[in-house]
Amino acid sequence: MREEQHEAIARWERRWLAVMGVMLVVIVVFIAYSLAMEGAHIGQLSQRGAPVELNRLEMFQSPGVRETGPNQFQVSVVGQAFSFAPALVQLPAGAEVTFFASSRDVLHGYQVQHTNINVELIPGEVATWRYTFNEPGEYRVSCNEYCGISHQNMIGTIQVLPAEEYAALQEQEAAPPAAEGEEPAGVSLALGAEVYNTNCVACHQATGEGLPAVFPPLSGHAANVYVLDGGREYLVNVLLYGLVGAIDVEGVTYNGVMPAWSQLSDEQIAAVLNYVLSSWENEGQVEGAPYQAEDIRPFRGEPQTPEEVFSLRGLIGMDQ
Amino acid sequence: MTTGTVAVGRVRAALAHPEKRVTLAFLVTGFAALLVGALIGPLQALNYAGVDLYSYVPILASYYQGLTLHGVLNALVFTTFAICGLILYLPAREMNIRPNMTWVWSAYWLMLGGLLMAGIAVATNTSSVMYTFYPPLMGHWGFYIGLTLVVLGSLMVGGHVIHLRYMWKRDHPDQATPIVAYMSVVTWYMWFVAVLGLVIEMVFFLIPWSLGIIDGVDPQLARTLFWYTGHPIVYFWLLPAYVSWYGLVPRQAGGELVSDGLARLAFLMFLLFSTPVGFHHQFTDPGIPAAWKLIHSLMTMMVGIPSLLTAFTVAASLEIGGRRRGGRGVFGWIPKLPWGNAAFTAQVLAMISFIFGGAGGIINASFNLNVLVHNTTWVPGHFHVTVGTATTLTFMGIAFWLVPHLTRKPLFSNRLALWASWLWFVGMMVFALGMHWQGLQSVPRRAHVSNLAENLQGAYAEAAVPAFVTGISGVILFFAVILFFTVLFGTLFARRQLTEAETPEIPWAQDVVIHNEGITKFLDRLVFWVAAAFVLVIIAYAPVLIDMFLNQVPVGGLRLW
Repeated sequence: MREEQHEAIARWERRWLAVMGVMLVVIVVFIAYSLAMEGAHIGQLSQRGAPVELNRLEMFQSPGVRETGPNQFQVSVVGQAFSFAPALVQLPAGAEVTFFASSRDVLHGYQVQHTNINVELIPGEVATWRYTFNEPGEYRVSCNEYCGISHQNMIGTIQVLPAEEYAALQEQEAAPPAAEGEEPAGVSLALGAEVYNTNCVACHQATGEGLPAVFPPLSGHAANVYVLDGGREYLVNVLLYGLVGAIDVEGVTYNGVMPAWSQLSDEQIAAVLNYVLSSWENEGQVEGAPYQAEDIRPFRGEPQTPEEVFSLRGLIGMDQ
Repeated sequence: MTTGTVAVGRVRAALAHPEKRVTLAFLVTGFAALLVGALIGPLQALNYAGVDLYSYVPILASYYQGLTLHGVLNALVFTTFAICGLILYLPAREMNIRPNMTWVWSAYWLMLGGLLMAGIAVATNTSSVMYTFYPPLMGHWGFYIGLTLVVLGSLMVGGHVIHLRYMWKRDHPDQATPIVAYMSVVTWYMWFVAVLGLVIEMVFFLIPWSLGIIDGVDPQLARTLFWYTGHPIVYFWLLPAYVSWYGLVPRQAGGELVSDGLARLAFLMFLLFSTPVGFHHQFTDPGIPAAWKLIHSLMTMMVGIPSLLTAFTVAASLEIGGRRRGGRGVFGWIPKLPWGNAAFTAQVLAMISFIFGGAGGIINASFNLNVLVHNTTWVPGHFHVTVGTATTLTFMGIAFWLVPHLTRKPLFSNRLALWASWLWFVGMMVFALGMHWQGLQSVPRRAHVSNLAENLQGAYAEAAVPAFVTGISGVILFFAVILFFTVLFGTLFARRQLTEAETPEIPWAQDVVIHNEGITKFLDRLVFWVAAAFVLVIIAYAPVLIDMFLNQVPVGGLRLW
């Protein structure tokens, strides 16, 4: 290589590096600036604690939306295979929202479409961040961390309503229950089927057969549990508070996790239990009154951990 | 020539360079893993286009098992095996020292054993935990032990290359380490610094946990240990490609390496800055304080510099080649490059893809921008132009001359090899376009979106156009895979033997003795630089990691697939 060629290359290389150096400094300054000015959407650690104890934390006893002050809201969300609890969050536009979120079982993600919200839900950590939704509309919430066989179906919704519309909706929901004489809406099998197909079908399947060695069957099995002494109560606890630990179902071991569904209403819990107990091979196996919403309510007062629910199995004479 | 003389010739070649055979074993095993892994790839691309072909592939229990197999075989197995072959053989030949064959073959068999263990675990659907294997999802113990053995074998090879350089230095006290050996040894030192996190995660947490010796693992701590290795591992994949780009490709272009000193400096910067940057994979983790994420974000920008240096130096080296071949004007040298040579073209296409990979990487490393794309399809879009093209297509290009060099068999078809290279390049570019674009619409990565539940159909309808683009790329890449492996196996199983004169030589770009003086001597003090790298790692990681170790929340393992 000729000497002048070598020098020309060296000269251009110095210029190239100078430009790159300036570019990187500019990038770094912008990163620091934008985070300092608008970093509230970044998930930060609120507290640590065993995931099985989540049910005991006040904000997660019945996760959802709470008004905490004028135009201020708190949203608590639990990620669990394979849904967000609650699946639907309704908020007024323009409100300052503080989120608290965690996972009950494995890693999940919480990414809200068209926003900067993107937080890893890690068992053992409660994340918190703030956000204001200014545009009304439906925002898709996707789990973006692989969490198991039905990961793709872990999609929730944040519905942002104009402030007046939101207020009207709140009033409507606060209205007194339906007039006497009407059949209580909660316990219909149609509602149960809807709850089942939204929340349960990903693991337990439309056939109620589950997935071999991964998710236990409900068909036949649910009825067998129900008829045990204490079985009726046990099933309510499993639905409200979840279950962890290795269980034996008809000779097959399952070591997965049952999420907690305390974010569902008493009517929905009762309806889905009735639906399961009257479907597949459970049909006709169960005698006694169907669950009513009132049957569920008393269990809300005594939150259990999924491990405590597991220990109930011994008490009602099931194999652990 | 009779068969007898061929056999004698072969034996003589093997005796002269017995490391050829082990190099070939590493390469062929690596490419075999790539064949299986890459054949699953098109299914995944089509998944994003809404086409679900998994029910037609009975050996795969689910999309997620297929994806685990794809990631483990391509990103972990193919790379590690190929790298162990390449940057063992090249430095040994350059320094003209024969490796200890027993040691190196032991490493190979250990790695193969590990590969079989992990492979069986994934194939039986007991370990569909992806190649990131985050707890609490728990795979079979064979999966974790197998992968650990693969890593241990690679460390045996790396340690041996470091030892070879030590012996060479002893015999050549006045000379600086030759350039290819220098770059290879720095890569291995970097791997030793980088691998610590993964080894601790495996040996003290995941293996005892999967064997039932300990009940729980803290997911945040495990993730942090994983990403301690998980970022520099991408440089472990990339640097062997850089070895070829700096040390060999300029010669194939008809030029020379323009700056020995800058090449060394670039590699040293990778040694220093590859590891203390892992939090940029954890920007969305609540358990890591934002200030530390910002520090790692800034450190990551530092790793941009050696890649930008490389872009300049390598391009200048190619330009010299083009001008020597008669190129005139600002761009006139480009068409004069040897585009008809598949070994060259594949590697230059790999370099071009890395321009996009590097630019995307700067976006990923920017704390504020990352939240838009974190864990969306953007991320696989990104690493398919980095490891999936920059590294993989470079290794393919190297194979086009190295396999004939090692086996003395003619390349099956230069023309098909060119087609394979271009199709791979174009396919990956189209894939990256579709995936990056979908990522901007917040489509999650690793999701079986072609099999959404009834009530969720159409959830990602707004990303239909980029999803379709991704699907197309799957078809292009399928043909690229078929062509490449036709060339590879066609070469390996060829009957004809090349004569000694026909056999490709190693295209050393720099064939001069570098005296160990001045700045080069300073850069050649590798133990000092490794110590400096450790100091940076301790500064960047110790406060956060110590806190995590002291405040663990262990959780039990779950199988949810």
